[in-house]
This record gives sequence, structure tokens and C-alpha cells, in this order.
Amino acid sequence: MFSLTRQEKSVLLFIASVTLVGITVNYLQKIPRFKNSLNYITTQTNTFSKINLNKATLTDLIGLPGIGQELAQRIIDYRSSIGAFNSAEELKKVKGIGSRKFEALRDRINVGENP
Amino acid sequence: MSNLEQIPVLTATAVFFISGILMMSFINIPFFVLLAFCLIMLTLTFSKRKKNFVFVLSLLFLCLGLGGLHLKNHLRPPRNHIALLDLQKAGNIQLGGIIDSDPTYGKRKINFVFKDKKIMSNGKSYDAQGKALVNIYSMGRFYYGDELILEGSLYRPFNFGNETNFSYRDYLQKQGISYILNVKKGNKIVFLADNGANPFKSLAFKLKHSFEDILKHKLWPVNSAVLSAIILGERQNFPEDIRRAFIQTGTAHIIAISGFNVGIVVFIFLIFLKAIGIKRKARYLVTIPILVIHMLAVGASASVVRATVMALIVLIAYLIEREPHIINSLSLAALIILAYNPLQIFDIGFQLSFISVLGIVILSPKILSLSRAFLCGLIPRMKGRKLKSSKVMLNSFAVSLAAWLATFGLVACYFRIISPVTILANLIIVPLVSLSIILGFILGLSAIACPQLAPPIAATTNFVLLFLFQAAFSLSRLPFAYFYF
Repeated sequence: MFSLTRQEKSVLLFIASVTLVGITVNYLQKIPRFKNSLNYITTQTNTFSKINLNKATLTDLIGLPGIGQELAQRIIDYRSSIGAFNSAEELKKVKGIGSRKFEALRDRINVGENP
Repeated sequence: MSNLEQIPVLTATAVFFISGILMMSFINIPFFVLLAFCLIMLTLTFSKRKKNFVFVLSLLFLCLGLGGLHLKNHLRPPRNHIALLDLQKAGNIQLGGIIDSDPTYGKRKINFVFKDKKIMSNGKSYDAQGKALVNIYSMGRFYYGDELILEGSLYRPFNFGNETNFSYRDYLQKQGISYILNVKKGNKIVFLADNGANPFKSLAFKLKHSFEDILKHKLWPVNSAVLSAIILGERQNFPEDIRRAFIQTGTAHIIAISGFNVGIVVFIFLIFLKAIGIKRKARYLVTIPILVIHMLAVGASASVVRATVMALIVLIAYLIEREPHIINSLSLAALIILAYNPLQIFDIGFQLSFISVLGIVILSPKILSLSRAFLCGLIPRMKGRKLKSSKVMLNSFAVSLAAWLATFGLVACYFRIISPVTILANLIIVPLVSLSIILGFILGLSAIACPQLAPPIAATTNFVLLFLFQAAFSLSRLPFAYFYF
């Protein structure tokens, strides 16, 4: 019915093996630790809680909506140049953060108790 | 079709993969049992590479197992999927994410698919995955790719009673949507950014909106609603009486964008590119991205993806000067769609689309030769030029009859209607719709390039569409045109 060359057989085997491994790995990653409860995600660190601009790492800042790696790095560079943020509003001085973006972030950021 | 007798390996693979999906939807075999079966088959294929028969047989059984594994994997949501949330404990919820579809604006609400990234409930927030259908009951302008935080009540879609076969929950589940978020007046909507869009999809939606605006401004309201549905897949304003006439005459396939529409798009662009003097291979190269943008713009339903993949394969085959194999390209299209979402196998659009193409490919050459023999027997002198002139008519008849024969069982089962008038209706309505689509595209181009030409083209389009509606109404009123049961 099928006359396959050696190369064709190798290609088919390669595709089938990769598909099998891919599906298996993907399935294993999905197995939940805690089922059917909001609690299962409490172990996660990324939250909507406020981020202290003076202590935030690059990863923390990237976790904020609308902030990519480049902008996060610019915020850290700015913080290093001034020492620390005195107020959240000061974030607007960073290039790339306008009033609109700042308003969206206002509820998500603070400068901590000892700026 | 010379090599149709030989079953290509791709087709056999697709058949076994599909069988695996279907088998797994009826029999519940644990994932790891199926995985063990696949590993045995894989070992067998590796060890028996020199024995052709054993190799092929174990490879096909491996594909069967892979189909089942793929469905099992697809049905299990990721660890932080919103489908796993226990809503009994959740009050008002805030969802953070990106608009993943082109928003539609109804009379009372705006709705779109929302790709979730964060969820906040009872003062806690978490990373989340999954999609929700969002209904916003207030004014506003939203665009595909907008990043938002939305506040509202989240609930599971309804499952309707046993008296109807339709389950809204299953319908949304097939699209990966597990919840509906209702954002009422006064609920918080925070705009975060507008950079979450796929640039191709974004461009496709922009072009669609521009085209839709042209149709709205240049044509009568009913005509613009119908042409928007046929060309752009925007069916929310489609007039109910015209829809009913198309269903009764068995020509509703023209409303759902399918191979027919994609074929016309390819035809129009190839002719246009030829007219402006572009060489043959360059024409095919230019048409390929146009087809992808068209697919994204009209919503990438199963029938559009099927038609686009097949058209792309044919174009690429011509580019590299190979003979396209229709059944193989159909199999590849099925594998691509099912790899993305195996639940599409249960979608009526998927089933009708693939079965009608199979019907046309397998049955229409036989019908054509039978009709020719019948015609030659009826009119012995009808040879040469006369026979050639009737070829177009015979071809259309054969395609319509083949598609009807292949699909009428499914149509009767799903819609409880049989339309004997279908073959005649297709012979009349399909050319009219083709003409309307071509005029619609010319109208769009002329409105941009030469606005002075647009009014006469719009008038012609209005007239053709009016004629089309009258034809559909008249055909549906013929005696024994259709039966509901």
C-alpha cells in the first residue's frame, strides 16, 4: 500500500516521536497540585499586591501591566541615579511613563515606608 | 486525480489520528495506559523499519494513539486555568488580560474574547490562564490587543435543556472559553496598554473595518449587511428572512465563509495582479500573505482555515512546480486544525466543510462522466464545440450534486431539513453570489483608488444583490422546494 524510502521512514518516526514527547511533557506540566480551589494559586508569588518601587527587582517590575523589560530597566536605572523614589508620582519622570500609564499603575505601586 | 487510487501516507495518518480523537471521546482510557500503548508502537516502528508492512501498520496505530493522547491533553486545563476555579467562594472578580478577538458592538452590549493573565478575588490575586467571553454593558471603544483590568461577575455558560441538542457551554468550550464575565455599568474598567496585539491579526482587523465602512456607506443597509457577512464573516446584522431563504434552498453555505469565498478571493487577486503585469510566480507569492490576512480577518473558523490551508498548498505546489494532491492537502488541513484544537472534529462547520470537499473530489468526476454519456446518448450529434460549451454548466451541476449528496445526511440530521431544490438553487445563486463578491471587492478598491467610480459600481452591486434575494425567495417558494421533519 505504501512504498516509503528510508529517509521518509526516518522523517515520519522523528515527527511521531517529537509529537509523543511534546504531548507527554505538556500533560505532565498541567497536573494540578491542589484541585478545585482558589487556594491552589496562593503559592504563586506574582500578585496584584502593591509593589515597592524602591525594592522592586527587574522581574517584579516586568510583572506590572504595560511594563516590558526595557522600561523596567529604565526605572531601575532612574532609581539608581536618584537613590530612591520619594513618591509614586516620581515614576512619571521615567521616559516612557506618561500620565495614562501612570494612572493605570497607581493602584499597584508604592514607595514603601522609608523612601 | 490520477493518483487517487493510491492512498497517500498523509491521508492514512490523518484518518488514524482522527479515529484516535473520536475513539477517545467515546471510550475513557487513562492517559498513561494510552501512553504505554504509544511507546510500544513507537518501539515497534523503530525495530521493524526494514519490514515495510509492520512498520506502516505500527506507525498508523501510533497515530491512532497520538490522536487519543492529544484529545486527553487538550481536555486537561493547565494548573492555573480559570476553568479550575471554584466560583462558590469567589465574589466580584477582577480579570487582567488582553482582548483576543475583534470586539462586536450590539445594541445593549459590547462583547469580545478576553485572554486572562491575572485574576483577583476576595482581595487576593493570582496568575491565570484561559479565555473568558466578556460582555460589557456600558459605552466605550475597545480594540483587539488592548490590555485591560475588568471588574464583574464571572459565571459558567448555561447548558440548555434536553429538548434542544445545542449546549452553549459545549459550544464555548470548543473555542477554549470556560467562563463569561459580565461587566455592568459602574464596574471598573482600567485600560493598561494597547500593545498586546499580533501585528498580522491587527492589520487584518483594520483592513476589515475599513472595508466594512465602505460597504456601509456605499450600499443599502440590507445589502451591506449581507455582503459584510459573505465577504467579511460579520453575520450579526444578517436579515433573518434572507437567512431563512438561503437555508430553505440549501445555499446557506454562501453565508458561512468557506472554500467558495476563499476561491473567489484567490481568483480576484490573481486576476488583479496579472492585470497590473506581475509575473506568474510573483503573483502566487503575493497571494499567499493576502490569503493569511484574509483568514485572520474573517475569523479563522474551521471552514476558512481548511480552505486557506488547501489554497496555500495549491499555490505553493504551483510555485515549486509540483502537482497538488487535493486529498493530501485536505488531510494536512485537517491535521493542522485538529492539532490546534481537536474538539473541532465535533464542529458542524468542520464536518460539512471536509465532507463536501471529499464529496466534490470523489463524486463529481463520476457524475460528470455519467452526465456526459447521458447527454451524448440523448443528443448523438452533440459533440465537439457544443459539448465544450455545455461543459461549464455540466461542471457546476456535477459539483452542486456531489456536494449535496455528500452533505444532505448531515444537514438533515443537524437542521432537520431536506431541500430537493438545492441543486437548481446552487446553479442560480452561486453565480450571483460570485458576481456580488467580485463587485464588492471592485467597489472597495474603487472607493479607495477612484471614488468617482464608486457610485455606479455600488448601484450595480445593489441591483445584483436585490436580484439574488428575489431568486432565493422565489426558489424557496417553489412546490416541494424543502421539507422540515
